[in-house]
Amino acid sequence: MRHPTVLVALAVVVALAVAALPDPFRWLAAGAGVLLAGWLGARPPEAARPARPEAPPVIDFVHELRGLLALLPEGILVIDAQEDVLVANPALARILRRPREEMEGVSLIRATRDAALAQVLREAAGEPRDVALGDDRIVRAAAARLEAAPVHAVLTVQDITALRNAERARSELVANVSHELRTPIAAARALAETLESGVDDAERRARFHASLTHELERLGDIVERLLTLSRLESRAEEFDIRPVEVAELARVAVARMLPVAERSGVALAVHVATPAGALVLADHERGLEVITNLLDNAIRYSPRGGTVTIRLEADGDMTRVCVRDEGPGILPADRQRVFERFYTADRARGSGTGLGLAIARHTVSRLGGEIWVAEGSPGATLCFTLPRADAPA
Amino acid sequence: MPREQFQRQIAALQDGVLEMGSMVERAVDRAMQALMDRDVALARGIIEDDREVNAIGFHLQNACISLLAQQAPMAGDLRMIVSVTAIMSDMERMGDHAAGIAKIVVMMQDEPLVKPLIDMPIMASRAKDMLRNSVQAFLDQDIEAAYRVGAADEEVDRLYDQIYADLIQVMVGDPTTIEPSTHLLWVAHNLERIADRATNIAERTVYSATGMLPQMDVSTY
Repeated sequence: MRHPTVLVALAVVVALAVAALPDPFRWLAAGAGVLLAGWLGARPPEAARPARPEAPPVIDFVHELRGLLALLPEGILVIDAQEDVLVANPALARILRRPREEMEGVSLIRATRDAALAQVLREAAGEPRDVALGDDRIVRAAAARLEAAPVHAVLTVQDITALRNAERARSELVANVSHELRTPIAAARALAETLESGVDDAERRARFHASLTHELERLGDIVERLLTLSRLESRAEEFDIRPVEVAELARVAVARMLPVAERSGVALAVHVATPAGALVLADHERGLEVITNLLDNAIRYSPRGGTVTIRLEADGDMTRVCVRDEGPGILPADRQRVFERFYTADRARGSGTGLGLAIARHTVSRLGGEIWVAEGSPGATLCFTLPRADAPA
Repeated sequence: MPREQFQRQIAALQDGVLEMGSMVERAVDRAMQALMDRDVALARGIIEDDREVNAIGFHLQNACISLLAQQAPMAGDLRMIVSVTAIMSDMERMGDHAAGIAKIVVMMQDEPLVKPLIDMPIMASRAKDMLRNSVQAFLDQDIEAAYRVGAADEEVDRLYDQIYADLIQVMVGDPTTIEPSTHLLWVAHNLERIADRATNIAERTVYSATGMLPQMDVSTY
């Protein structure tokens, strides 16, 4: 008689292979499954080993199975013919965010708490299915039926949220870059064509030339920002990190943004809660760029007559800089995504390039700090930290 | 042996409550997704899938009836089974409300939103929490947890008031927004009803555990 673990290991391999993805982890897992199957197959058959009458073979088998499935990066669930869960591996508990010990010895639905996953396992149709979990995550689930006691069927679950987001980001990037470039190109082309066909009035000609230059500058700006982002992402950008007075940084940024704020009818306020002359470790120009980016965003989302407040305070070994506006705020679901390229939470109002916060995130991370959207409403508060220059290394 | 089998049948009913709860939760999730993305195809899918929710609810109610007929259960068991039938009809209605949101999405097509959706997703998330917690309270027969679900309904009602007031203001400001505002008001109303049904499940939990049916629903709607 063949060892039942071999069957299960093979079933895992089948289920994994079915859900074939361009993902190295999957092949690693499949490879591990094959190796384990081979290793188990090479072991002496059950009868050849000394009999252990005191241990019921099923318990022993489940125990062994649990040990082997614990190694796999894929979430795996094994059920018996009554749909009771024999084994749920740690990866599955992690993916479903449930305590693993509560997932075994109970019914399928009690273990997974998810009717769609239970359905995949019941159908065991071979085709992998993508199932959305409640918290904006998505998993790819596949099942194989064995109908060999005690194992009836096996479910594999892989968290593909990151993969889905990357796919989405890639297609959005292409769409957005084309979209962002198209408007200034169309404008520049129209202006150039008009000039080419001849404009008699010298004043109008000069105005068209100025507009053409403006559109080309905008194009250049977008391309420049994309390149900056690309350099930051590949860590090719040189940083000149030295002690910088953080309050001065904030004041210069505010002075830079004042004309923009005045045009939008928004007041700017600075609260310095750090000691006078407090220093942070930063690249002066890059740090300035982060603050102006946050201010620019805050002003853009502020109602006329609103106030944008920038606040500096100590936060352990770091100095925290927060920019708060009185706009519509940022949805919890968008709090992570606002730092993605071209992601503008409210597209109707997003007149920026959608690259500012992505650049800010990379810059802050290179400077050794963090950037996040603070909780609370009304309005949005974006904060970032920079290491204090006087903090012990 | 029959007792053991009976216990298994009761456990299967509780599993059914979990399964239905998960299906309804997904329906609410997808309905909100359809609203946020203005995804009419997804909305149509939800309306279609609601039939399956109804079918499972009906199937479980039947299972309750045959269990009552065959086993003539008493006391706690009897109350448990009767509660499951009541919970099934609550969940079936919650599924209808999720499908109701989907129907509004179909009706709206690509009509612009009159205001950004900020309170609405929070309301949906609270309603889903209430559903999940009410199901867990029922499984554990946990009276305190059930009362907490009832208390959580107050926040949903408060969010509903907020959305209602905001939308009325939008309509007063610009009468051309009356129709799209009304659509959003219906969505909020469906969410409010879903939360109320979760409160019903919590009430059933107390009934199942104690034999007394409290009135947790202090909602003004």
